[in-house]
Amino acid sequence: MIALRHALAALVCGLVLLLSEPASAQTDPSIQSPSTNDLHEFTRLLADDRIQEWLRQQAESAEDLIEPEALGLRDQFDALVLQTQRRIGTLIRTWEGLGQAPEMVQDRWEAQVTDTRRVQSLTFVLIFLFLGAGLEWLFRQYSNPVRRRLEITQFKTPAKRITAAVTRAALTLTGLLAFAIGSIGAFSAFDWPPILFALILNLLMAIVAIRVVGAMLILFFAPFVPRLRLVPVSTAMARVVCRSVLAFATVLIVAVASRDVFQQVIEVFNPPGGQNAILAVSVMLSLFVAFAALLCLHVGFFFAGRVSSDAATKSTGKWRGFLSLLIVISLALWILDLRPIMWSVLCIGALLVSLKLLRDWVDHAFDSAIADYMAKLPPPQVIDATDETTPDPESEQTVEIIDPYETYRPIAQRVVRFAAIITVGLILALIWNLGIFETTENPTVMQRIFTILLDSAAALLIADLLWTWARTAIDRRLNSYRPPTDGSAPGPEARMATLLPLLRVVLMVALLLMVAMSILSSMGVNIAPILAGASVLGIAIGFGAQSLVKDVVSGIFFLIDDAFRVGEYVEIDQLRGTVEKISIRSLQIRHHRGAVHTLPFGELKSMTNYSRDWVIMKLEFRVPFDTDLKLVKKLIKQVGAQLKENPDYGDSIIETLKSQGVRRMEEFNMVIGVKFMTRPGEQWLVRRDAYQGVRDIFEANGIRMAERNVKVELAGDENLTEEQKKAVSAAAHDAVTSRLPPGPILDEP
Amino acid sequence: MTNSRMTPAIVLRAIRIWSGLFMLAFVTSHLANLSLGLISIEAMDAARPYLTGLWTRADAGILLLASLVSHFALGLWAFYRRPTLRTNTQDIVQLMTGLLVVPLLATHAVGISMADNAGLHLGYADAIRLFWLQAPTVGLLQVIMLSVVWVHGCAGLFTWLRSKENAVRLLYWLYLGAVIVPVVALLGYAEAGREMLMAQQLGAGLAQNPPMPEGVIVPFAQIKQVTNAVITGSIILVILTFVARFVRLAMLKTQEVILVRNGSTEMISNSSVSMLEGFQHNDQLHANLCAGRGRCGTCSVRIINSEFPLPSPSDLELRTLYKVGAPEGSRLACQLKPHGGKIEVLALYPADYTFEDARPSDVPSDAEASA
Repeated sequence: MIALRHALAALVCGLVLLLSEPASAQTDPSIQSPSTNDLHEFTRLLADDRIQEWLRQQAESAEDLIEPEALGLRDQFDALVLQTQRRIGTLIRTWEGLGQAPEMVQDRWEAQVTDTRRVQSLTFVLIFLFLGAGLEWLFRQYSNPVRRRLEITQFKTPAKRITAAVTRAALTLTGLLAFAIGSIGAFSAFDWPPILFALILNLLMAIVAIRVVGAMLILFFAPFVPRLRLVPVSTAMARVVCRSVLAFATVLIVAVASRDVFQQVIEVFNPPGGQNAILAVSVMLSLFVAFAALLCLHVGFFFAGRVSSDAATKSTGKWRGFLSLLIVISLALWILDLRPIMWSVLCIGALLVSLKLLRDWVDHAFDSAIADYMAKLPPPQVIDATDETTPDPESEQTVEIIDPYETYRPIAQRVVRFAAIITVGLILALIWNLGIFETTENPTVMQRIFTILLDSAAALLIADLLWTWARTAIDRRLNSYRPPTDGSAPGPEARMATLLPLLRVVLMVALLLMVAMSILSSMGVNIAPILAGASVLGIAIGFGAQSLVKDVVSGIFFLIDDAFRVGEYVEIDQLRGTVEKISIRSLQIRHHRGAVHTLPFGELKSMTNYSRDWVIMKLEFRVPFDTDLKLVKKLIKQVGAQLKENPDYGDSIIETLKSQGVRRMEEFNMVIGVKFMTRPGEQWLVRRDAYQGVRDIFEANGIRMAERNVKVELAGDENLTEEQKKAVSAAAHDAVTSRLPPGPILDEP
Repeated sequence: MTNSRMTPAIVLRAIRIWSGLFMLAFVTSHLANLSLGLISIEAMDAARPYLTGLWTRADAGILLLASLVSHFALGLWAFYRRPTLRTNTQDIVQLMTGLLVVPLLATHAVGISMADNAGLHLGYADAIRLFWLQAPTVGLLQVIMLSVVWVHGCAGLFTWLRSKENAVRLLYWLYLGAVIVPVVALLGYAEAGREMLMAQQLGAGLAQNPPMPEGVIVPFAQIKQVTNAVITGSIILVILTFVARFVRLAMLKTQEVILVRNGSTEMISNSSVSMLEGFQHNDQLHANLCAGRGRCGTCSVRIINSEFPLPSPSDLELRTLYKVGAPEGSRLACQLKPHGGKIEVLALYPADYTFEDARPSDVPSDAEASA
C-alpha cells in the first residue's frame, strides 16, 4: 500500500510538472530580471509571518484539492497495473542476476563477521538462552503443582474447563515471558554491532515466537490432556493438527527472521544490486514457505484422514484443494508484490475456513452443554418414563428434550459468525488503509464502497441476529404451547398463540425496514423524505381504514387483558357462545346451538366470561312444612360426598353440594337452598347429577317434594256427585297452575 | 523386613548417588569461582586455590576421577537396563546429558590436568584467553559442556531429593540455587570474555600469552592424543551400550498386558515395560516423585486382580514399600513388570500427589477413583 502511495505521489508530481511547464515557457520571453529593490522587498515579504502563514495555508488547501482527483478508481487501477508491470520487470532482472547474489552475500557476510566473532556471538547466544531457559525452568518448578492439578482434575462444567485451560496456557505463557525477559533482556544489556544485533535478536525472537505458537496450540488442542481440550477433536487428530501447524509456523517464522536479517545485512553496506539480492532472497524464501505450507497441509490432511474415523473424505478433499489454491494464489500475489490483495485473499480464505470451524465448535459446545444438562436432570423423571411406558412415551421424550440452551444455539452461532465477519472486515479496512475510522470530507471511491459494504453488512448481521433470537424465542414459546384437550379449560398461554405470530410478522417487517433504511442511509440516500412520505402514507391509510385500525388495536388490548381465550364460554351483548377463533381483527364465537357470531374487536364494549376460575350454582328444592330439616341436611351432605367421588368430574368440584337451610317460606311449602362450586364448564353435569341424587335420596328416606295440592271446598257440595266434585277441583287446579309464570329456561349448552 | 540388607542393587544405587553428589559439589564450587569473572579475571585467579584448587589436588583429583568413571559406567548400565525411552522429559534430559558429558568434558579435563602435571599451571587468565581469543570454538564447547553438566547434575539431584519426604522445603530453595549458580557463572564467563576482548582491542598485556616458564615442556601432541582417545572411547562405549540395549530389547519376548487402574478403561501395555511406564504410554498420569526409581513409593498400587501370577518383588521394592507403610498386596508400579494378561489395580496416591499432601488412606477417595 505504501508503495502504491509512493507511485501515486510520483504520478501526481509528474502531472503537475507537465502542466506547469508550458505556462512558464509562455511567459518566459517578456520577463526581465528584477531589480535589487524588488528583491529586497520580496525577501522582506517572505520573512513576514503573516505571508508565511498564508502561503502555508494555500499550500495545504492546494494539496487538499489535488488529492481527491488523483485517487480516482481508474487511476488507482492504472497505477496498480503499472506497478505490477514494473515488478515483473524487476523480477526478470533479478532472475537473470540470481547467480551472483549468494556469492555477494557471502562475501559481505564474511567481510563483516569473522569466524571468531561468529563463534563468540554464538557463545553469547548460548549464555542468554541458558539464562532464559533457567528462569523459565524455575518458574515451572514453582508452578508445577498448580499445573498438575489442572491437568488431573475432572471438570464438571464447560466454563470450568475453559478456565482451567486458559489458566494452564497463562502459566505456559508466563514461563515463556520469563524466558523472553531472561534471554532478550540479557542480550539487550550488551552493546552489539548492528549486524550481530539483528541476527541475535531475530534468533531469540524467532524462538520466542515459535514457542508462543506452540503455547496457543496447546491451549486449544491440548494434545496430551483431552480433558482440557477446547476444540472438539480426538487426541490423535489434535496431535496431527498441532504438529503440522507448528511445523509450518516454524518455517514461516524462520523465513521471516532470516529475510529480516538478510535485509539488514545488505542495507548496512548498500552495495550495488543489493535490492535485487534482497528481492531474490525474499522470493526464494517465500517459495520455500509456500512449499512448506503445502507440504504441512497435505501431510496434515493425510494423517488426519488416517486418524479420523468418520469418512468425510469428500468435504476434506474440498477443503484441502481450497487451502492449496489459497496458498498458491497468495504466493503469486506476494511475488507480484500485490500485498493488500494478497492479505485480502488470505483473510477471506481464512474467514471461510474459520466460519466452518467456528460453527462446528459452537455446535459441539452446545451439544456438550446439553449433554451435561441432561446428565444433571433429576433421575425420578427417568424412572417415571420407564414406569409409564405404555401411555405415551413420545410426549415424555418431547418434554425432556427441552433444555435451557437450545434456544441460544442459533444466536451463538450468529454472534460468532458476526464477530468473525466484522473482524475480517476491519482487518481488510486496515490492510487497504482505507481510514474508515477517520471522517474525511472527500472520501475516495474505494473508501465509500467499503464503508457502505461494512455498514450494510453490520446492519444485516445485527438484524439477522435480532431476528434469529426473536424467532427462536417465539417459536419455542409456540412449540411449548399445547392446545387444550377437549373439555378442559385453556390456560393463559392460549392468547400467546394469537399474539406471538403477529409479533413475529411485525418484528420482521420492522427489521426489514430498518435494515433497508440504514443501507440506504449509508449509501448516501437521504432517508428523511422517505420516512416523512411513509408517515404521511401511514396517516392516510390510518384515516381510510380507521375502523380496521380500531379493531386491530383494541384486539391487541383485549388479548393483553386476557379477557377471553379460545374455548371459553362468553357473553357479549346478548350473544353467547364458545370462543372458537381469535384473529387479529375479529372474534368468532359459536353458540351452543351451532350458530357462529363474528364480532370485530372494535365493536366490543364489555363482555362476560363464564369460564374463569370457578362457578357457583344454586339449586332449590320445595319440601312440605313437616320435613325434618336435619335429615335433609344430612342427606344432602351424603349426596355431596357421592358427587365428589365421581371419577369424571369429582376433581372439578371445588366445594361440593351443601345445604344452605331454608331459604324462604312459601304459601304451601318451604324452599331449601343448596349450592356447589365447580370449575367452569363442569357445573351442568354436576347439577344434573345433584338433582337426581337428591331426588333419589329424598324418596328413599320418605321425604316428599312439595306438590301443589288444590283443595276445593264448595259450599253446599252435598248435591254434587263425585264426578262433579272432581271436575270442580280439577278446574280449580288448572286455574291455579296456569297462573304460575313459566319456569325459567336457562340458556345453557 | 529386609530393611538393612545391602543387596547389589542398593549398593550400586548408593554409589551412583554419592559419586554424583560429590561431582556436583565440585562443579558448584568451580562455577562459583567462574562467577567471580563478574568482578575481574584477577579476582577469579585469586579465588582459584580455594574454590577450584581444593578439588583438583592429587588425592581429591583421584576421587573425582573415580567418581566420574563409576558414575559414567553405572549410567551406561542403567541405560542398558532401561526398558523404554518414552518417559518424562526430565528423565530423557538426564539420560542424554549424561551420555554427552564425558566426550564434552574430555578436552577441558584432560588438557588442564595433563598441562598441570607437566608443570604448566594454567590460570583463569590463560583459560579465558584461550577460550575467547585463540580458540573460540573450544570456548563455545565449554559453554555447552557447562550447561550439559549442570543440567545433568541438577536433574539427578532433584529426582533423588524429590523421593525424600523431608527435603520438600529444601527443594524450593535448591531450585533457586540451581538457576542462580550457572547463570551467574555464565555471566561471569561472558564478562571475563568481554574484558579479554577489550584488552585485545586496547593491545593490553592481558591478551598476550605470557612466556613459557623455563624447563617446562608441555606434551601437546600427547595431550591431543589422550583427549581424542577419551572422546572416541566414550563415544564408542555409548554406541556399544545403545547397540547392546537394542539387541537385548530385540531378543526380549514380550506379552501383551492389559492394565485397568481405578476401574478405568483398559490400557494396552506390554511385559517389557513397568506398569508405571504402561500408564505413561497411555497418557495416564500416575504419581511418581522419584521418576520410576523405586525410591519414593508414591507410585504404589494395590493389586485387585491379576490374570497371571506377578513376579515377586525385589529387595529394593520391598524396602520402599515397607518404608511408606503400604498395605498388604501392594506393589510399586515403577518396579512391577507384569508377565502378561489383565491386571486390575487401585492407585494408592492421587496422580498429583506431592509430599505436602497428607499420607493417603487405604482406599482412594471418589475424586481420584474417577480420575
